[in-house]
Amino acid sequence: MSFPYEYIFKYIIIGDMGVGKSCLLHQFTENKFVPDSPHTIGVEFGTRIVDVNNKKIKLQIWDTAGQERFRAVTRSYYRGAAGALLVYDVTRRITYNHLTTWLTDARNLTNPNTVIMLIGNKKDLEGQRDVTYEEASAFAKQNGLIFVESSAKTGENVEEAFLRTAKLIFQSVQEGNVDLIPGGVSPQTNPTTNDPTTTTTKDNNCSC
Amino acid sequence: MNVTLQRKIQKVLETKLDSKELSESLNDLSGFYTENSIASRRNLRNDIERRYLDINKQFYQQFEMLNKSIEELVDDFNEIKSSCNDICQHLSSTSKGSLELLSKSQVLSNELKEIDHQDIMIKDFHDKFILSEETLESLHQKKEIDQQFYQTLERLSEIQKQCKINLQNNQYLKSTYEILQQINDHQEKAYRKLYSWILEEFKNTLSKELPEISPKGPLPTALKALDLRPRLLKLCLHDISEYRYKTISNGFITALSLGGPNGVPRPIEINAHDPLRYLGDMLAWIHQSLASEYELLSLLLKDITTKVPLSDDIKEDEPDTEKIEPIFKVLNSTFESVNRPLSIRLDHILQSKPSIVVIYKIISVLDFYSRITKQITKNNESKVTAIIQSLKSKCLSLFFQMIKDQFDRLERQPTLPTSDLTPTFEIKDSVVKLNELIQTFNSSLIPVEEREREYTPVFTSIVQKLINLSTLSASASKLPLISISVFMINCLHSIEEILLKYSDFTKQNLELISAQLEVHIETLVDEQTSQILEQMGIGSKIRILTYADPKVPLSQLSGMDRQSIVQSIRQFDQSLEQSFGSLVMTDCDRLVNNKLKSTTKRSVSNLISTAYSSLYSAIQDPFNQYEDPISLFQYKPDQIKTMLL
Repeated sequence: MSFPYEYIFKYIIIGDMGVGKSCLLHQFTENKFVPDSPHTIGVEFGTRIVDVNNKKIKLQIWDTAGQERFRAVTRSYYRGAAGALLVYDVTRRITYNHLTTWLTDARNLTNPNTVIMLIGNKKDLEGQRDVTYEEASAFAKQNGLIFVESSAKTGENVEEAFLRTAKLIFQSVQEGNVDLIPGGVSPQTNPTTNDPTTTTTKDNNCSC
Repeated sequence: MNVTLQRKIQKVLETKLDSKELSESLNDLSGFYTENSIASRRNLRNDIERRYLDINKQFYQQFEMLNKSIEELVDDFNEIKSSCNDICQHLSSTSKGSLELLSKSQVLSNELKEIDHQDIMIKDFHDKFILSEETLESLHQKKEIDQQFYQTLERLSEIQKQCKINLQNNQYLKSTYEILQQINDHQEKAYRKLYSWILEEFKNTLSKELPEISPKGPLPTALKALDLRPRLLKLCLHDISEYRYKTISNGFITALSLGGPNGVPRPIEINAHDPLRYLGDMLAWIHQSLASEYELLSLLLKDITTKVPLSDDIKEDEPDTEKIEPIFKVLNSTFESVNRPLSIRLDHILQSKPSIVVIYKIISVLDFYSRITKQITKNNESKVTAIIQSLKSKCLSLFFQMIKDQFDRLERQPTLPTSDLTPTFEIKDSVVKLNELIQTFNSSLIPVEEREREYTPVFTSIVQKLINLSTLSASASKLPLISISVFMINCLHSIEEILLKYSDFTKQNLELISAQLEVHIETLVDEQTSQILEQMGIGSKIRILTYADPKVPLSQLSGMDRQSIVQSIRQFDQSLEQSFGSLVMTDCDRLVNNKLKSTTKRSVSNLISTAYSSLYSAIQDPFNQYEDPISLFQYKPDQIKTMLL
């Protein structure tokens, strides 16, 4: 029996409205760019299976709405995320300025091992650039984030962003830092810890 | 001379010496006539005759030999002839015999052809209807389910199909029935084997929280094979539901009370004190599980086209049974598992008596999740959506009940308006709440095109109750009509202000409010005008003018004599001059809204100017018999208008 994948990593994509979060998702999962795509309502969802170190890994990606009014809804989706893609728009400084708020949110709502990647999107609009690579790079270093500039339109660095995050998560898993997200059970891991949600709760059924 | 001699000489003379015969004879003669002697000459004739005799003898001998040969030949020939006759006879008898043989062999060869044909048919039939040992082995003996198993299964159903065609055509009934019976037996066994194999697979895969299912893997293929076996399929679906029910149920309870590994992420119940966060986290968990689960089931059941009865209680043969796709059947039973934990927790939240605004926010969150869970299932209604919707309607009825209770309480003992005629505290408070509710509504995920439809039923009753409450307060107050108008305008306007911010979907309410407002504004303007006219002294004159009999000259009516008109006009002019054209309108001034204040004041001024103008023209009218009417007035209507406006 051949397994289509051995791990599941849950991602969230966060960042201000209009920075291209949904476009990154679509570029990554469907290889297409939809200009003028509508604002995300609440959360959207996409999956893709990728190959990391010859292991098939399924990425389950939750794309959140950037609008402030959805914040109450979207923060529920941070839980259990193994990777967070924090996106800003290189042509709009304001979206860069808000990164600290997003980062605080992400740090508070995810677990300490969650890999956070900073993505400067809309790299293709070089002429309208408002945030330099160096500046964002320094910010990323300061906050211990990995950083890449991408373009959801041309597809440049989109794969890279998702895959680099996946690699780091995978590394973390192998070093034992991360008890895998429920269900993304690796056959090698110790059966007592690999699936806590199903193994530790049998006595809790009555609590409902 | 002797005639004989003569003749002889003649003859000799006539002899042609150069003839060939002669030369040959002479040549020959020279062979044996070697010596010209008398004896020889005498004997010549003898010799020649003897030679002739010899030659004849030779001839005779030769002919005798020839004759002998010919006789032999004749004998031979006769022999041949008789042989030939024999042969002929033999042949004709043989020919007679072989004719029979030929016809026999023809028959045999025809039979052979027939047999060959039958052989092909039988082979064909065999191929079509009978399974080989090897095939049967793959079906029943082998432990694993492989490609051949499915191929055989497919063969079986093809055979079955063919048999049915035969039966329809009334062909080979007996054998077809026999074959059909066999095929059914094989099928039954094979499906049983497949089913128990599937159960084993389920045990291995489906108890994991996120099972690995490959789209081309064995389980989807196995389940696809059950597409033709609704009963077994139904059992499988039931088993899938059971496994997934357990997993989802455990997963949910764990997320609620234990959280992730080592408590990260933290359990959802940590936020139980914050109703919206608590509920939002639970619903988000359900939403995410639904997405995974839908994906899992889509992979598992992707090839199944059979629909299954909606309810398990109904027998599938019943014609009018409502049917759904298997994936939803499973999804629905699976997510029944979150129904109780979620409902109970929501009940707890509601028992903690959250404010009406929080309740509405809860409704809004539920509405949001009923929409996005529906998106996950490609706009098909699923149990999850139904659960959330039923919770929403439960909250909605609680919400309506709370609104009703609150207003009932307020209406029983309405607070009276204070002297400034602004909305009472209760009304202000309700308006603030209305504002919060509409704000919540506005920030909800209801699509723009649905907003008005969603808004109207929920909010119209609240707006109506607010209007009613204002009216009750006003009418309980026993205030003068003009004060009631001011109070009502102030109340209605405070509501209108809120609604105006969301005019995209509050149109209906706005119409209601502005119709009510108009009535009260009209009353206010009328009342204020007559009050001021009274104060300025021309009120009674205008009243008489309005109700006077048009056939009687005004100057003959009591109170309309020249002297009293002059007095009234004086008083009017004086008041106007003292106020520098801006009259004191105490009631209009109590309107909270400045814009309303100025428009009503303007309307009052307008009415006053109009009243003055009508009095003026009535006095000037010769029919009314005033002497020197122009001298009665210090100002012309135009001048008054300019001063007032």
